[in-house]
Amino acid sequence: MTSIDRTRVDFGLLLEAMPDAVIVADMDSRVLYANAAVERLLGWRADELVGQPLHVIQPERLRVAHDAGFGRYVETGVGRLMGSPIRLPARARDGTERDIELNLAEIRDPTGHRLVVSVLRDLSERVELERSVAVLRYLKATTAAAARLWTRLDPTLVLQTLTEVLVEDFDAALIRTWISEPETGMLRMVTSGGLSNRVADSPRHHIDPATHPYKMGLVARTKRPFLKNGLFGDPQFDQAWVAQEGIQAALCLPLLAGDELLGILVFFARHPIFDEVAETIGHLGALAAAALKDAELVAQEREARSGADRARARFELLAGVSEQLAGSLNPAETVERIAEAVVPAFADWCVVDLLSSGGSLETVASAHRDADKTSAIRQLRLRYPPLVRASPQHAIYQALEAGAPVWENVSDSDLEARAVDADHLALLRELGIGSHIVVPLAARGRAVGAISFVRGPEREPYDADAVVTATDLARRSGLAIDNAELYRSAQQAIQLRDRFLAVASHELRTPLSVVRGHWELLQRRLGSPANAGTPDGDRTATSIRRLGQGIDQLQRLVEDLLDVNRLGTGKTHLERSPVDLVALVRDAVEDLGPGRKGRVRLELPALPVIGAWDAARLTQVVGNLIGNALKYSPANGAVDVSVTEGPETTQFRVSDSGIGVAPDQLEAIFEPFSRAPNASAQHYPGIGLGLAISREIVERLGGTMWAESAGEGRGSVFIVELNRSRTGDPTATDSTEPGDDE
Amino acid sequence: MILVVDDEPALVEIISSLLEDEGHAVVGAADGLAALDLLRDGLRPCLTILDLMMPRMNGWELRDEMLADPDLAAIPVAVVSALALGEMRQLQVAAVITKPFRLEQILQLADLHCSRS
Repeated sequence: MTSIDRTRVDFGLLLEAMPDAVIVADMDSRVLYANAAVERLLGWRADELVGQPLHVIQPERLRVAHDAGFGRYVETGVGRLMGSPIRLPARARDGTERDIELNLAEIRDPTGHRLVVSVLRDLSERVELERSVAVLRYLKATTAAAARLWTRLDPTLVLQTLTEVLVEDFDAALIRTWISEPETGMLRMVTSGGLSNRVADSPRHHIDPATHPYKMGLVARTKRPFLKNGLFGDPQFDQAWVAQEGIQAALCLPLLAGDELLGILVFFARHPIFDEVAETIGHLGALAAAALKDAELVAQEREARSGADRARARFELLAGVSEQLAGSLNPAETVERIAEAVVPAFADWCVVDLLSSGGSLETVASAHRDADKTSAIRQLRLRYPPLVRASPQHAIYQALEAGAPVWENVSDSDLEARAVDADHLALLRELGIGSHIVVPLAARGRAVGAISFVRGPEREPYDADAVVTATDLARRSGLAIDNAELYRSAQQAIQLRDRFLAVASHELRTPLSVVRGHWELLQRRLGSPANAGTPDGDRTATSIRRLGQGIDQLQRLVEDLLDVNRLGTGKTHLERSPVDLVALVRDAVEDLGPGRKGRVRLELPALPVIGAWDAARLTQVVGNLIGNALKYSPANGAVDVSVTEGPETTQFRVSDSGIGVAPDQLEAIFEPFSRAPNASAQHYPGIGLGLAISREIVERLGGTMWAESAGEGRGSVFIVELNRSRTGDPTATDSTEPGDDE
Repeated sequence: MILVVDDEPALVEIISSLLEDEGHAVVGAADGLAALDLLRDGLRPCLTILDLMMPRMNGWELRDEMLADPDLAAIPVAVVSALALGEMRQLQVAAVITKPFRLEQILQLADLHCSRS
C-alpha cells in the first residue's frame, strides 16, 4: 500500500493510537471526544471528560481568560491561539499541573457544525532537560559577567553591562533597568534592551514606587523579587506586545545593597524562567547591585577629591579580587583565592573559617605575606581553635553573633591577656597582630562563616574606610562561594543526567530488541493474512506498520542517547572500509520513502567517490542532515543534496529553504541538547542530539562539518568535508609501488 | 537442529519462534556452559547462534572449548552481539551479526547451513 485509502482507514483507531492527547469540543466548549493519550497525560478517562466544559483541564487561574478567549473566538472566528502552538500548564485529574504544548485547530463535522480540536503534547521531560542545560549555561555566563560588571565605575555603565549580558547570554526578550533617585524617591529608567524598540507602548521614564500599581511598585516596596511563568490570562500582562512577541515569563528583581533599594531589574522572556534560572539571574542582580554600590562609593569619594587616590587604590584592590574570584567555579579553590588575593595589599595575613553543620569552625583557607608562616596559621587554628564560649569572646563569634564586622586595634598586652599559654602567645607574636577586621561571610542570606583580615603591629592599622572595603570583600566572597556552589550543584545535576542517560539507554536496548523481534515475527506471520484486502486485514496491517514505525523511532532515540554519551570520549567506534559516498547518499534518499524522497533534488557525480569511511556512521550523518533539512523546510519545500569532488577532499552539501539559523547560533547548534531558538520556539520536534553526534562522527573520520545560513527564515546549508585518505582507495590496496603498503 | 545460546530468554524465544515457524528444529541454552554440556552429550547442531557476553561461560570461552575439541571444531557458529566488530578477536566463526539485528539475517544463515525438516 503506497498511499492511504481514505475510505478504508479508520481515523478513530488512528486517533486512539496517537501519542499526543487529542480533545474535540463543540462551540459551547463541551468536550465531545478525548483519545486514550488524554488519560495517560492527565489521568482523565474519556467517558469522564465527555460533556464537561473544556476548561476542566486548565488550572483554575487560567479559566476566566480561557472562557473569554473561547467566547471571542466563537463570535468573531478570530483566535489568538489558533494555529500556533503555545506552552501552557494543564491541570491533571489529581489537581497537579503538567507542562504541555497546545495546538488548536477548527474542523467541521459532516453536518457542518464547527468543532475545536486541541492537541496536547507532554513537555515535562523536555522541560526538565532544558532546565539543567539552561542553568549550567547561565551560570557560566554569570561568572564571565562578574568581571565585566566590577570593572564598570559608573552606575549607568553597570546597568548597561547588565542589560547587554541578560539580552545576549540569558536570552532575555526585553530588559529594563531602573535606578533609585534618593533625592526624589523616584525610580528612573536607565536602560531598555532587547526588543524594546519594537514594543509599541512608550514606558514612563519615572515612576513613583510608593504608588505604582503594577508588580514593579510591589517589588520596590517589598524589596522581594517577583517571578511569573505563563503570562497568558494574567490581566497585569494583558498587553498587545506580550501576546505578539510570545512573551511567556516575567521576572522583576530588586537591586539591593543590604536593605537599601538601589534599583529594579525587569526581565521578560519568551521561554519559561525556571526557579534555578531565576536564582542565577538574582545572583547576577546581586553582583550588579554590588557594582552599583561600588560605583556610588567611588563617585562619592571622587567628589570629596581628597579621597581620590584612596578610591583608586580601593577600586584596584576590589577589581583584582573580583577578577580572581570570577575565574573560579570550584568552592574550595574560590575560598583559597579570596585569601590569596587580599595578601599583602590589604592584609598581612588572612584566614577564612566556615561554619560546619555542627556549628564549629573549620579553617578552609589561609594566607600570610610571608609564605613560610602560612603553616603557623594552620597550627594556630588547630591547637587553639576559636571557642564558642571564651572570655573575652573570640572576634569571629562576636562578628557572627552581631552579623556585622568587628574591627579593633590589638596591642601586645592584649595578646598577652588573650593567649591561653606561652606557646599560644609565641604563635600570635610570630604571625603578628596590630589590628584586624573580622567580617561574617554570608551566602544566600545565611551566615556561613567569617573572613579575618589581620595587619601586623608595624603596619598602619585598619581605619573606618578599611572596614567598608573588608565588608565589600566579604560580600563578594560570599557571592563567589554561592556562585561556585550553584555551579557545582548544576554540574552534579548534569553528571547525574548523563549517568542516567547512559544506564537508561543501555538498559532499554534489550527490551527494545525483544519488542522488535516479536514485531518482526508478527509481521512475518501476518505477512499474507487470509483476510488481506478486507477492512479488518488492512487495519491489522496498518497497526503493524505503525507499531514498526514507533519501534524504529524509539530505537533511533536510544541509539542517539547512547551515541551522545560517547561524545568526546573517543568511544564512538568506527569501522573503516572503502565506501562509495555517491551510492550511500542515493540509498539514504531512497530510504526516505516515496513522500519525502520526492522533495530531494540530487546532484551526484556520475562516478563513485570512494574513501576509507564508516558506511553505517556516514549513513547516519547523511540521513540526519537530509532529515533535518526536510523537517525545517516548509511542507513540500525542496532540499538540494550534492556531492562534489575536490583534489583532496569531498564535499557533501545539504541546502534547504527552511527556517535558517541566526549567525550567533551557527556553532551553538552543534552542542549536545542545544537547539536554535527558532527551532524550539516554532516547536519543531527534536531533542538536539543529531548535529552533535554527526559532527563527532565526521571529526572522528578526520573531516569537518559546519553550517552556513543567511539568517533566520533564509534557509541553511550544512556542509561535510571528508578526506579521501589513500588507505581507503581500493586501487591502492593492490598497488605494488613501494611506500604504498601503509 | 539449531543451537541458540543467549542469556536473554526473550531473545532465545524470538529466534526459536522464528526458526520453528520456518520449519527448523531449535534447542536453546542460557550460557556457554549449558551449551557445552549439550554438545558434550552428543548434540550436533547444523548451526550454533552464539551471544558473546554471558554469565558463567561467555561466548569466547565456549568458542575456545569448541575449537579445542576435534568433534566440535567444525560446527558452524554465527556470533550475535551488541559489540562492534572490532571488539571480536579471532573467533573463527561463519558469520557475525551485530545487535540490533533483523530476523531476516538469522533466517538467511539458517537456510545457508541447515535444511528445513
